[in-house]
Amino acid sequence: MKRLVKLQLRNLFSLKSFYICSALMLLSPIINLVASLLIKKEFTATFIPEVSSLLSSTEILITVVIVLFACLDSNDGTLKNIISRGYTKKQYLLSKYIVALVATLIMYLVPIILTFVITIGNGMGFESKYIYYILAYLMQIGATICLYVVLSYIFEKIGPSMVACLIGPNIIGTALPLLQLLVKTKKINIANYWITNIAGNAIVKSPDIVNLLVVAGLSVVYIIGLLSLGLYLGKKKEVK
Amino acid sequence: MDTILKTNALVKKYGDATILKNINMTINRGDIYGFVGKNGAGKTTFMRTVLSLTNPTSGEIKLFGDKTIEEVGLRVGSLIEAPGLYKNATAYENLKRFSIIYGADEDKIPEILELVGLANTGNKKAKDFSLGMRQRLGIAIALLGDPEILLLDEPINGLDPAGIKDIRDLILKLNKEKSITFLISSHLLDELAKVVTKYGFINNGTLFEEIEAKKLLEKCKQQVIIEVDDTKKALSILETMIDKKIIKTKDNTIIIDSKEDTAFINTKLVNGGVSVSSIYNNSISLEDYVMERIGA
Repeated sequence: MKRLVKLQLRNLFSLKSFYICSALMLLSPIINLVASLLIKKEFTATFIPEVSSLLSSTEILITVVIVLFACLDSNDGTLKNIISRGYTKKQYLLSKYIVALVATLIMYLVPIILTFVITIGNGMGFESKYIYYILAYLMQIGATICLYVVLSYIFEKIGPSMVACLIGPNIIGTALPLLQLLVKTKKINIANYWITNIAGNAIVKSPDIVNLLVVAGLSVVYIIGLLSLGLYLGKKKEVK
Repeated sequence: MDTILKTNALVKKYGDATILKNINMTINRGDIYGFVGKNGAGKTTFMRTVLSLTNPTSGEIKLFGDKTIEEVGLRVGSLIEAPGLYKNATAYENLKRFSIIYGADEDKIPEILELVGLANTGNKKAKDFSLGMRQRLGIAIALLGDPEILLLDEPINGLDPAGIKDIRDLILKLNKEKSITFLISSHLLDELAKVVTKYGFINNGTLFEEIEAKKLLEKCKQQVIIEVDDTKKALSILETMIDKKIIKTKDNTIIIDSKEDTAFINTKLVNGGVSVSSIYNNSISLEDYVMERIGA
């Protein structure tokens, strides 16, 4: 397993798109700052809206990198070189997920820190809820990345995986309010529990430890569920 | 003898189609096993099943005694169908990446590249390699980690004559010097015959014959061809003298796969009331022998 993670790290760092997208993400808070100064002649944004904007505007870059990385072995036909030497599909999928998480953290961490420095430097002050906010979003990202890795593992090829990852979660997110109408309950808002909404709805409205634990619990459920589903669907699949 | 690979009643089905039918194969240490069959006979499926790239429907696969591929995968090298290469990486980088998971010594990479004739590819990426170069790189990857058995599916596909000779020499060298066991499938029988020590013939998913290369050559040397008026009657006489497994019929012709005394057979048949229009000893080539067996 350790060897597989090492191989996947090497694969990640060989991807040009990883560096290009990381650079674009790093530029994002700087562009926001410059644009605000140029248009409004002042920078008044606080940390949470800025990070929120960063996360939503750069989501596509993360998706591109994760899909390219997750599909690399099936696309190049190197997966058979891994499985035929005794590594299991479970080890392979886990190693992909671990390294995809590492990639996401690398790509997000520096822009988030930069945003933090810019907003704090702008005199907006530090609030403890920022910690809840960041932790909750990292957990949600962990679950979303798992979804991307599993979809890429199932679809194997870059094209279908990219489409599934870019469109799939949004389609489900849009369909859930319809489901809410069918269920006819007002006690629970189903859309709040969808993978892309778990952090935002719980934390932004009430940033406390209880909601953070709810997000953590839901993320773990999603991660375990998605990995199990991926392994189940991939079990009988031929390695090409 | 040390058994490296053994399959018991291995079956692989895709829907209603049975691709492998009760395959019982045994490969001993030091064998160079030539796996021969037509396109679609089941050779690649068999290799893929052994390597766990596809799940068997039923049956057993045992490696190095009673181990599974998950337990001894690092001791098994393979090249199945098109080589799996990181297309945006150089030959060296490909080997470096796989050496991480195969537990191979990185210092040996230049030696392996030299061995397969890819030492001078420099910064050229695998995606720009010719078919032959890709095949060589695939073999180099299979050699990483000093495997004890190599499963090579059509390893000389796309190679030029010099490349074919290089790979043939390499197989013989590795077999002799490092006692590496081989399972090789190929359509190029003449090339296969130069290295193989044991043959396995597969047709429509059935492994119908396993034979030592020496014995096969003996068998190829002679056949007796008899043309008669009554095949049924002739067979009943011949089967009292010769093992019926080596007797075949085709229209009014009877073929006996061994060297026999034609005069004696002729007398017996004539005395038995069979009219013999011709009887003679015939030598056949290895290719004809094999083609006949695999139904090509």
